[in-house]
Amino acid sequence: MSYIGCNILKLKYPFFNVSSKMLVEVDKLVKRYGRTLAVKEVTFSIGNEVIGLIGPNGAGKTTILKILLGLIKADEGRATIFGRDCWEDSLYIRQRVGVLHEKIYFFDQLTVERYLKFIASLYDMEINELEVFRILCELGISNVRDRKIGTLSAGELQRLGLAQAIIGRPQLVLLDEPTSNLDPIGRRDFLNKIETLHNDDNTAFLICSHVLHELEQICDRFIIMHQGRVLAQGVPSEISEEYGLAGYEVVCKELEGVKRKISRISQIKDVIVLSRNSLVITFDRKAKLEVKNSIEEIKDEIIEIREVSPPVEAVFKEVISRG
Amino acid sequence: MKLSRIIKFIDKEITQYFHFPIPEIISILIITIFSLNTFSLLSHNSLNLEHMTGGRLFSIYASSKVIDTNINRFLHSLGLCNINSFPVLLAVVLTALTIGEAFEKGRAVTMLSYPISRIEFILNKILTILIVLMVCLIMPIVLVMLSVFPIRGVLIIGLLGWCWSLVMFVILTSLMAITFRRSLPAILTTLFISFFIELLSTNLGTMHLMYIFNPSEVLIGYFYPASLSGLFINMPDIKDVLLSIGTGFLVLIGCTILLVWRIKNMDVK
Repeated sequence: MSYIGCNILKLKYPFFNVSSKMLVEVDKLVKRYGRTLAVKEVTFSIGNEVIGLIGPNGAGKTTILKILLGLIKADEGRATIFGRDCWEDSLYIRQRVGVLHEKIYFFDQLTVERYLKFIASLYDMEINELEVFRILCELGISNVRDRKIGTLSAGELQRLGLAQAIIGRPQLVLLDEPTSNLDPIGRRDFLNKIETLHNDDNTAFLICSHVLHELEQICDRFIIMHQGRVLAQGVPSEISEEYGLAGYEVVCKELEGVKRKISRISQIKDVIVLSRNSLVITFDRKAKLEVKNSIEEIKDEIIEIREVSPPVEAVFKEVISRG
Repeated sequence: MKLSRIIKFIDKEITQYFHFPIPEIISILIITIFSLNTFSLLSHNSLNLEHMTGGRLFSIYASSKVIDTNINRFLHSLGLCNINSFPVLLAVVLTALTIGEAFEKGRAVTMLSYPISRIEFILNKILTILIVLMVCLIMPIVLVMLSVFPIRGVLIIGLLGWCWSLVMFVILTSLMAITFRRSLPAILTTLFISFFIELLSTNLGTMHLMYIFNPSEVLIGYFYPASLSGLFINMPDIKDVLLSIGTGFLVLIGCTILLVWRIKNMDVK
């Protein structure tokens, strides 16, 4: 968190201990469901930034979110937000944290406007029609203001979910699979909104998602989880450095043919298509020369090749495969 | 076209459009069985389940005084006992479906992610259920009974017993619903517990246990020994009265403490 960020935080929340410099601190967290160990000694911290918490199904991401919200009690370890214990002071924390769960329950019989006013009242806030309209406009659903929630589409519900998460003007927002029901345009708008909130209002985000290329556009850092453990954390370039990964972006004339030939190179770990004529290949840094030589053999089909940092998707696959 | 495929499809349709059909159907069956227990008034061989639902006072009054033939006595007492026990059984079902469903459908996770304390969450549900029961069921019955029942004092104590029963059953069912987080186990366990207490008190001969769920009957027996109900309840000793009320009160407080402890410490998944 920057110095300026700390000052804004101090003004907004005088109680916040600026010296800790972290909004969320998780230390050796353990959670068991019966005999299943869902979270194994997880440690991480989050400042005023946008963090992607990624991992395959059953990695323990949602359990972590629920522990942070005080919905689930950790068996061992400690989780704090704003320096307060997530279980002991959960009410205090929930007053200052916005949430969008993967499956959210809405009051179907309420209109969108009444629902948002109700949610605002839970945060001890009163909002008028104009404020509701402004929020809905920003999320591109101003046309549904007077409609009953039960009549909204999945995409509209998802946007309404973000509206209810940010309506209390939280310092931190936890999002669980936030773009799962959105079309590509809706996803772009959604991510733009997150970026705007982070840049303009200094809101921190912890986002759990499987859509990695989208997260890459907005996240400052990633925490990669697998089977309840944190395997790696940091910016993708740092993680790939740690795992000895390197990458090339290949711009070609005919994608399918090049992709097929490149995939045959034994040192290639992953091939990710970026557009109609470009792809990114990742490989072990030590095998850089061999990969380059192999690509030279098909240079007639390639327009351009440049070294890039491996995308988060490739980093994720590598981290998970090494377990 | 296979019948099994159609049945599967129908099942999906029902699940989609009518929430929890199975617990509701079983609940209706349970209510029917409890209501049919009024047959005890004729055959005298029941498990006395109507005690717990406060059914005895009104049904005995009706069956013994008003009507003479056997079949009419049966039908009349069945009707009266239904009116009497229905609110209590409905309390169990309504509570279980409301609270159990909240956990089953992720409503609790959503609501408890807002700045709402767990106590506020459960209290809100319990009070809603009690208000619905009181306004929709108790008040109309009170008005009808006040106009027809001959002894007002007995009626008022009886009605207080009803309210006691409702609160007791709602608290107990809430405890079961948040423990199992399902509607049906909550209904069945609550009824089993009340049935078990009834059975225990019958076998051990401990009168006060029998009136945990409705201590007003023992009070009626004490304060109105010469009244209509006094003919059927032997005048109890003051120790029995106090023990009944005390036991009921302790059970209620105990269940409430357990409920608060449980809701404060449980994982909301």
